[in-house]
Amino acid sequence: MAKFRPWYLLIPAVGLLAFIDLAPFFYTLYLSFQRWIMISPNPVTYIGFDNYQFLVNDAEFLNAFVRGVNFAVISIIIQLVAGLGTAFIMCRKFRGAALFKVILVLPLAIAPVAIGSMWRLMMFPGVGPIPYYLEHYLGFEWNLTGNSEMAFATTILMDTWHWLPLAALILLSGIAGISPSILESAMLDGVSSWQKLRFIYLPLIRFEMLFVVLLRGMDAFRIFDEIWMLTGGGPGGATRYLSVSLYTLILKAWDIGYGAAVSIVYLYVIIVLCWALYQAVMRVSD
Amino acid sequence: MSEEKKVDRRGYLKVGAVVVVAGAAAGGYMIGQTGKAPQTTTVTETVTETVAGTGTATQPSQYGDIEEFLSKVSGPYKGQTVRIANESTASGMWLNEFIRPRFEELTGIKIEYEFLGWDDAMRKERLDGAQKSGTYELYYIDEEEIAAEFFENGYIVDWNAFAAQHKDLLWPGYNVADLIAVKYFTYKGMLAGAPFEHFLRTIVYRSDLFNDPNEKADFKAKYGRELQPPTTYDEYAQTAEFFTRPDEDLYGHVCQPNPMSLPCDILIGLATYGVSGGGYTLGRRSSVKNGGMLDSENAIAWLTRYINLLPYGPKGVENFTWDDEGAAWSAGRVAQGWVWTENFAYIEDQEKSPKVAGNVMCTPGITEPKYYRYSTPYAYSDAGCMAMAASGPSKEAAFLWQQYATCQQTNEAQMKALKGVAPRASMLASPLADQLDAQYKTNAYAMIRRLATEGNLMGPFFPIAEEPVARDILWKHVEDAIAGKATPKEVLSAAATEIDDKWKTMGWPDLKGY
Repeated sequence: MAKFRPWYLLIPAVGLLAFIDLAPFFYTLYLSFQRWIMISPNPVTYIGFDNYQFLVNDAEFLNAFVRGVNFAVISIIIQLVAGLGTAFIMCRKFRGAALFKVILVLPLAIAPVAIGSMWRLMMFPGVGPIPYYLEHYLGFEWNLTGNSEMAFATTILMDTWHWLPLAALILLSGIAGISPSILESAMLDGVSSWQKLRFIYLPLIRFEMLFVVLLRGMDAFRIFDEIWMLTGGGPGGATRYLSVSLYTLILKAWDIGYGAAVSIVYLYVIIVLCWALYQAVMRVSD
Repeated sequence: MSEEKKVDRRGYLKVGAVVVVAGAAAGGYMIGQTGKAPQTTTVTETVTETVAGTGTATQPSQYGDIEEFLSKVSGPYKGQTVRIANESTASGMWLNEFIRPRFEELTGIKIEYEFLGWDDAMRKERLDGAQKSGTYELYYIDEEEIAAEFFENGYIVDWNAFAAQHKDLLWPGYNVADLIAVKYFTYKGMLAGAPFEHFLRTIVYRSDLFNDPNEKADFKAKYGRELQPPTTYDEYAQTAEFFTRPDEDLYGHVCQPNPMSLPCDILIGLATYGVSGGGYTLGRRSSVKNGGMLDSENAIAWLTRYINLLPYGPKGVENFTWDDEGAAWSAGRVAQGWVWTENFAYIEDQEKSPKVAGNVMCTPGITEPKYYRYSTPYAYSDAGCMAMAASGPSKEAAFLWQQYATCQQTNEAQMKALKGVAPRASMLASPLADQLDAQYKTNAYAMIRRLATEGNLMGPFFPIAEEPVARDILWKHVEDAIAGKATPKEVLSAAATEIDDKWKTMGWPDLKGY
């Protein structure tokens, strides 16, 4: 009996997890096999795999997915590069360094919904200061509401502004962990700055870099609040990433069954993506 | 290296302290400012204030009867709370600020408003209705198809039936049939609730600019005709072009195409091109080949016109919400364009809109002669009611509040305070309507009266429970046209086909059934 005791002790934790995680998951899975449009008086009907069959041919879903991947990949690359640069700046001693660090991390403390609103006010044509100065001093018209590419770029800019400090702090921890003796040896050997970056820094902070990719990959792929506040998914669906599309599907069109199917696929994609990144992080860590 | 990277804790603390102190000081100052919000007053005070402030005769409110009645019958419900999910409309907020306190004082019933964006209000109401959680006593409903949906799903109760069963709680002087918007909230003979707001979405223009002799001369020189309020869309496009002067921050057009808002302008505009019911049929068909009109020549012509007018709007108009639209009017950035007349509450307020107050005039409705069919009502008559939630635990208390919030005396005060709202038919014909038109020079009440008499006031949608699904599909495609990614013909064709397919998957029988 004693040998089963550890299992008994696990029951409360497993029970709680099952309640919190598994119950909603299985309910969503169940819903994904139904036709249930909540605003319709028609009854809920079992339709097998129809929702999934529709999904693989649904241009809205596929486009939203591709847009989301583009957004995540471009955001992460920019944040990784800019984060590395920022981390190097933070390593240095200079006047106002403390103030720089405090200001740098402020965006992390702001709620996403507030960030979306702030950026909408800053970037809205005819109202925001940024388009105004761009037009008046550089003759460049930045149109968030009418130009798809500019709207897409603005969402990346906003996401970078929000999460760059996190990337910089994680990379800073990696740089801080590099033994000074390695850097001193390199200096004595007369290596250039580029060689130092290429052959010392980057290999030694691989773990932190992958960690940034893992964290930001998960976040960027499911971004919603900021985008909803900034563009509402427009113009012309240019920023309707998968989470925005899903929100519209479930909480505006009330297509619960199909929305559940999209959610399940969305969850599956995120799990696979995270698993692959996690494996990479672990391999580097080992 | 590690020495260099040491974090200067004292530096952090210093800067942090400065930030905290500055933040607290700014926050304190702002709280102090917000603390100076308008005081809550009783209806009588409001009426007096509003009228006295504008120098016209004061009509003391006649609350005697209903107040006495409410005091008498509300005893058993004292201490109950009526919770209301409401869109943050001007009328709803006005009721909460000025009418609620008096009602609470009279009855001991507490009224709790939860003001939300339209989307959120509908979302919360649907979830509450579906779960029967009883969180709210009253749901805000502003469209026929939502009333239809809520009735079909059993989320709300029939107001008429409830009144018949609770005659002892119905004030004898209360006339629900006089509320103009009752017809929009009646579905299969059932009434969703007493409408507490009713106003227009219409095109208005700046009378000071249109009557300016210099503008008139310039316009005549350029277009060879007199400058006057447009009566056709061709004329509208001409005046829009004429008044679009980005250097002066003045624009010739405004509307609200934001994807988070309803595509109201599209649907209203369709009616002015002779397409009723948003291009759908009651049999849930939208494409021409299936009997609808969503991808008809008329609809394509309208959407083309809608897109072509956008360049005359303020920068960012492609993403304007109704609040952005109202703000553009209030700031005097627009010479003509769409407006919700409920926003006259601040557009016609001298303090809030000094540049335009007294200079915003309603036009006679614009229609497109080439496409318009004279049997189609074309003026969007917007309204909102409070519907009694089937799961609400305090229905009787909610019923009493509905009557007080929509009785004639409240409506009178509401018209005076909000300037563009006309809940009751009898009051449209009263001297008060003319007096307000003369006072604010909007012509709003004369317009509502005329359109109502001519039969041109339309509810926005057919009472089709599944309409919001179609609306979202339509909007998704229209956005592509606004962004210039597809032509109006392409997007309407794609939308009509997709909507037809969707309705089919929602259990509607094949065409043979119709």
